[in-house]
Amino acid sequence: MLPGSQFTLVKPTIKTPFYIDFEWWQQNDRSWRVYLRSYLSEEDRQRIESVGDEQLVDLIDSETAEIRQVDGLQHLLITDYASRPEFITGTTSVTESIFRLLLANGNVPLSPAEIGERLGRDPLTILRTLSGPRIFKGIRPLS
Amino acid sequence: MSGSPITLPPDYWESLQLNDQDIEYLYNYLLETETPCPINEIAKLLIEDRVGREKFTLAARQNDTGNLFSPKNDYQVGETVIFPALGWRKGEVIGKRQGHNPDTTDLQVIQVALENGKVSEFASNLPVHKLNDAPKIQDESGMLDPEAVFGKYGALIARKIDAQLESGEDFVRIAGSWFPKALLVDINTGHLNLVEAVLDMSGGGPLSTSQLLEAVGIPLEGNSSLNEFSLDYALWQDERFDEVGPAGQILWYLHRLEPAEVLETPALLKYHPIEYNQADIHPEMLEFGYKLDDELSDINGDPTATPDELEVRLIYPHWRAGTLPLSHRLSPFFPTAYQAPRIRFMLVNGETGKKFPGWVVRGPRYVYGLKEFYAENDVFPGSILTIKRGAVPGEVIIKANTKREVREWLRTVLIGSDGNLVLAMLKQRASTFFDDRMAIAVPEPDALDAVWEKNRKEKTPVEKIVVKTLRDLSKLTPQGNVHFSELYAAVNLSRRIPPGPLLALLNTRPGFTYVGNHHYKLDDAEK
Repeated sequence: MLPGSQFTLVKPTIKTPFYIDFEWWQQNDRSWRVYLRSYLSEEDRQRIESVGDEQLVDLIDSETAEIRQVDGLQHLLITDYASRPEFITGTTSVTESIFRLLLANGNVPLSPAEIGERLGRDPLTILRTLSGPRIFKGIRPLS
Repeated sequence: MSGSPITLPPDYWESLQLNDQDIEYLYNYLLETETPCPINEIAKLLIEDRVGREKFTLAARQNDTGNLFSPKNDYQVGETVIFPALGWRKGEVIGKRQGHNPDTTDLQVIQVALENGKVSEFASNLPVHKLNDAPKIQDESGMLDPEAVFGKYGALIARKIDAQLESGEDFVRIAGSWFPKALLVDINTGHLNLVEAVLDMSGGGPLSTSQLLEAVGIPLEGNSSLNEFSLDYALWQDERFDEVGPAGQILWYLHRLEPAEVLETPALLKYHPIEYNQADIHPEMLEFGYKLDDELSDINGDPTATPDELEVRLIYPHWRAGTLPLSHRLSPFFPTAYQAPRIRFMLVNGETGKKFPGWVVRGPRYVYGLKEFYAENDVFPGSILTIKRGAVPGEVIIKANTKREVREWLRTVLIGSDGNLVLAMLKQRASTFFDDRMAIAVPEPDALDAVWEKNRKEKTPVEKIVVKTLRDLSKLTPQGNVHFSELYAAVNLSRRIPPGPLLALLNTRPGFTYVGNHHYKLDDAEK
C-alpha cells in the first residue's frame, strides 16, 4: 500500500447490513421493475400496468407508524406477495431468497446474521455469498 | 393488538450503577433494622427497591398520555409529541401532507423533527395501528420480577454493591455482612485487652464472638447482633486478633499463638515462579499434570462436579511440612472464607475418628496440621490419602489408607558422600497404600533438609536438577524410561516445582524425549 493511502473497501462481517441498491440495476442496464413484475400474477400485472406502478405509496411501519415511500409495485410485493408462503420456499436459491427477503422487508437493510435467522440458513454462507466479487441482484453492504 | 410496551432496557440490570438514592436507601434500612446484613440480602433489598421505583416511574409514564403519539390522532404543525416506540423520544410536528396508501383512506402524514435532529414522517388519522392502544407495562423477560432478577443478576449486583460500599467510609464489613459505621457500639481498649486474655487462656482460640462478649462482660442487652458486629469490627482492626472462621461463621484466634507454619509458608513449600509457556506442554500431559494436585499448578482441568471423595498422592515437601496441597480439585473439600486469610477447622481421622485441628491457609494454598497424623500413620511421600467431606459442616475427613505392614522395594533417597542425593531401590517398611511411581522412602529427612538448603543457597538451576534426577531415575528402570509422576515426585525432593514448568522444560529442552504414555527418556548424550 502506498504511504498515506487508505483502504477504500471495508470487509463485511455477519453484522454488516445489506440492502438492494436499485441504482445497480440501472448501471447494469437492467430494469428491476421488469424483474419485480415477473413475480406478479398475470391479473396483478395487468392491473398494475393499467394504473401505473411508479406512483409513490406511503408504507406504514407496523411497529412505529413511521412512513416510508415506495412505489406501487414494491408496495404490492411487500404488503401482499411477501406474506405468501410460496414467496420464499426451501427450493428458492440463496441469492433469490435474500433478494426476496429484503424486498419483503421494504429494503430495510438486514445483516447476514438476521437474514440467516429468517431464512434458516448459515449466516456465514450468506456472508460469503454477498461479500464475494460478484454483486447479486444489486445486493450491497450498507456503507 | 397491544400498545407500545413500557419496560426496562434489556441491559438495565447488567449495566446497573449504584446511585446516591440506592446508597441512601441501604443506609436507612440498616439504620432502622440495626442489624448487620449479608451482601446477598443487601442485593435482594436493592433489587426490590429498584424494581419498586422503576415500576412507579413506568406507571407514571403510562398515565402521562397527554402528548403520546397515537396514529389515530390528527396532529397540527407546532405540536410536541412523544414517541414511545422510539425510546420515548420527543419531536415537533413541522409539516403535514395528504397520505397515499391504497389500504387506508384519509391517511395523513406528519413530518416530525425529532430531538435527535432527524426528521421523520409518521402516519396520522390512521384508525388501525397497535400504537393506538395505550402503552402497557410489559415484563415478559422478568426484568421487573425481583426474584427472577436476583436469580439471574444477584451475584453481579452483589459484587457491584460490595465495590461501591468498600469505596466509601460509611459502611463496615465483617465476614460478608455490612453495617453503618456510625451505629457501632463503642468497644474500648480495656475490652480488647480482656479479649486477648480470654483467648490466651483458651490456648489462642478459636472462640466465637458471642463467647468473647460473654467472657469479657460486654453487656448483651439490646441488639445482640449489633454488639457482636461491633466487637467483630474492633477485633478486625486490631492486629492481635485473627478471624479464622469458615464462610458464614466468625471465630477469633490470637495471632501470636497461631502455628508458625500458618503465619509463614514453610520453606519447603516456597516456590520461586519459573516462567513458561503452557503451549509448550505436550497436550497428552496437560490433563495428567492437573490430576497431580499441585497447589501451585496453573494447569486447568475439566471442571466437572466435585466427587464425594478424592485421593491425593503426597509429595515430599508436603509430607515434611505436615501439609496438604489446596489444589483446584482438593480445595472444594475444605472450608473457605469471605475475607479471612487463615481458617481453622477440624480434621477427622477417617480410620479412628480422632479429631484434630487443621488450618486452611488461603493465600499460598495449603492445609496445615497433619504432622502428627503423618507420623502416627507412617505416611510417607507417595502415600495415597483419601479426603472426604465430614458429616458436620467445617469438618474434613482424612484417611491414611493404612494396611498391614510389609517390606516393599521402594525408591529410597540417600545422601551421598559429596552431599548430593542418591536414589536407590531398597526394601522399606510400608504400612499405607501408596503410588508405585511416586513413592519415595526418606530415611534421613534432616539430611535432606540440608540438601534443600544447599540448593537454595547455591541457586542450583532447575534444569540441572531435572537432568540429574532423570538420569538417576533412568538407572532404576530397565529401559531407562521414566514416568512423569516419578520425575515430578523426585525433583520435589530437593526443589519445589509444580508440574507446569517441569513439563514445559521436558518438551522444549533438547536432551529429553517423550516416548509416549506419560514417559520421558534422557538422550544418550545426556546420560
